Amino acid sequence: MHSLRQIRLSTLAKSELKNIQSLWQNSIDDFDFEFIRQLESGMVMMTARSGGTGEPFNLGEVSISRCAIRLNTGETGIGYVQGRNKQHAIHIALIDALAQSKEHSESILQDVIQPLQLILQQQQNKQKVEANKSKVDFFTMVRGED
Amino acid sequence: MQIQTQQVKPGLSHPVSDSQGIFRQLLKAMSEPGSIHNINYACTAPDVMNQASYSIALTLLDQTTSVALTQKLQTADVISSILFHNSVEWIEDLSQADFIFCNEDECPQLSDLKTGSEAYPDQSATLIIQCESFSSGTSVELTGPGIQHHRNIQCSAFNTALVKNRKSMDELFPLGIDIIFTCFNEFFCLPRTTRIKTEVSSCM
Repeated sequence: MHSLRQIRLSTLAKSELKNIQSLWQNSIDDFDFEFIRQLESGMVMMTARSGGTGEPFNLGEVSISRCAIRLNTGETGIGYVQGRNKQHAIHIALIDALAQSKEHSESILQDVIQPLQLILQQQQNKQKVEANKSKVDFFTMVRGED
Repeated sequence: MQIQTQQVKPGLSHPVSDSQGIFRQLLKAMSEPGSIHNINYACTAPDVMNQASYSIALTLLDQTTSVALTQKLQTADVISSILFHNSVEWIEDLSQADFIFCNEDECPQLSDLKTGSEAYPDQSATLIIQCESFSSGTSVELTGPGIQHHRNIQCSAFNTALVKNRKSMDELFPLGIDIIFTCFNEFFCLPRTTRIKTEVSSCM
């Protein structure tokens, strides 16, 4: 359903910058690239659906940072992330661009994206366990009517 | 038309301050019709667009405006770039567009474009014509608001058809079309208030 790129961008956007930096052992200065869209922060309206399936409604505005870059080899990468951390956006865009090149695609998938997914999964599981602790079951009294 | 990310050309390097600077220049040029201005904000334009046209496009277009391009400008890099940077609505029909970009050799009939309505003359089209040169071609004399006596301007786009076409729009005033002529990184404006006539040689 989702393309590899969608999964990649989603994983990078949800992960913490320090995790990305520790797994991707490069610096943004190691690469030659130009900005197609300059780094910028702004607000976007967040839309949600009640219960996940209902009518869409506007939940409120969130700040995002974004940019688009092009490597000197021609690959174009885009980075969108919630929050005002511009370094995060630039890392996403750069990794996205590198992942499109033959040279780096394999290593980025194995060394960066997959480990990040694992970390996200663990965080999610941990949250689930925490949440489940406080779960309350409601029972309806049977009132004897058929 | 989908955006092809590989085709997108870089936008302005300082999106906010550069577009404000360009907008200021456009205001100045519109208020002094026929005066040539230089746009010096570094940006890499698509192959078939000159730097002035591309800078103007990046400055004026946004999601509330629509844009049309004549045949020669409908290349993947032009369309991808303006859709990507401006989120503009791209339409085929020249008569519905707020902004029209064209080359001098495929200039549309001005009367076919949106001229606004009596109640809203501002809802008219702005035409951006890309020219070969501002130092060759027919010379015309401009008069009207923003020009003290008259101003002469030479441009390769001024042919008999265009001058006649533009003159025929005079009677529609306050409706009409505002035109921006661009060449490399230079441009000048011909708003609807300006009257145009082909220069008569002074030896008579």
